[in-house]
Amino acid sequence: MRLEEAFDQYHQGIFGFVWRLTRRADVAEDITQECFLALVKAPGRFDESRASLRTYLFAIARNLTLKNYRDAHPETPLEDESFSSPPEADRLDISRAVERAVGDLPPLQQEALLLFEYEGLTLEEIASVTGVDVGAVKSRLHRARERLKVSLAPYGKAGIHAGTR
Amino acid sequence: MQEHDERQLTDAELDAALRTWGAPAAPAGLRGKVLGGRERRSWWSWLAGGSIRVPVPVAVAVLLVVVAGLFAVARLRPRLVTRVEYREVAVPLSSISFQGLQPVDELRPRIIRRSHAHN
Repeated sequence: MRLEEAFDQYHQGIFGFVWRLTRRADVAEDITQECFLALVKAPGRFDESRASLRTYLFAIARNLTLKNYRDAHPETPLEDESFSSPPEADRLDISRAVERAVGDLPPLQQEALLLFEYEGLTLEEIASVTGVDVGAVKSRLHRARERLKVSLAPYGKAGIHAGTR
Repeated sequence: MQEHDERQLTDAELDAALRTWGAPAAPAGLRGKVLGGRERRSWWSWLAGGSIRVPVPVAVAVLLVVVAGLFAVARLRPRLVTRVEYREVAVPLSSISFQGLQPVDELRPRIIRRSHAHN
């Protein structure tokens, strides 16, 4: 696949993934750019027999984003399970509440959730991107969803339907 | 059961909630930053407006070679212009003889006017 085709096909997904992890457009833009430049500078590193180009690019994006996170939060473990209180339902609309609730997840749960729910990667692809087995991905995904079910509960059915209109 | 429903969303409700959170579109300038000059363009348009990246050491080396070349040409050019070759040509003296050459006794200049030139 030519670079132009790869860019057209995957850049929006990678940008969205990094943006949802960082909530910063400038960081998302830089990391998306670096993903494709890595492909240009070292095309030999991509081994088609080991992973798809999509998985390979998401893995680069994931590693760069984690590096960015570690630089910004050197003391915070990636699997920190501390639980912040749910946002007040009457002050946030549902999309802001989802953004905040997802942002409160531990980074490893966040990335699993974002890759599965928003980028449509399979469990096997997420395992390849994150370098763990499928069981670990399932576990992270399950824990993330359970936490979100609780943290977003104040919005209830009515709030969610109002937010989706 | 009612209390459980109030404290926790169902899977369907969570899915609906997650769908409300959209990501912004990637900036339009990103394509140019990534692909830059890699976009396909014809060779003549590249000749008209293309550019190449040259490493500084290579550029300096090329510049030094050009300056040295110009200096060498400048040094050679005066020699080429002023160089004169002297060659002796052997003239057979036997063909030139001054024998019998005597100074004239009297000069008798004769003035011929233009109007009488036909005479």
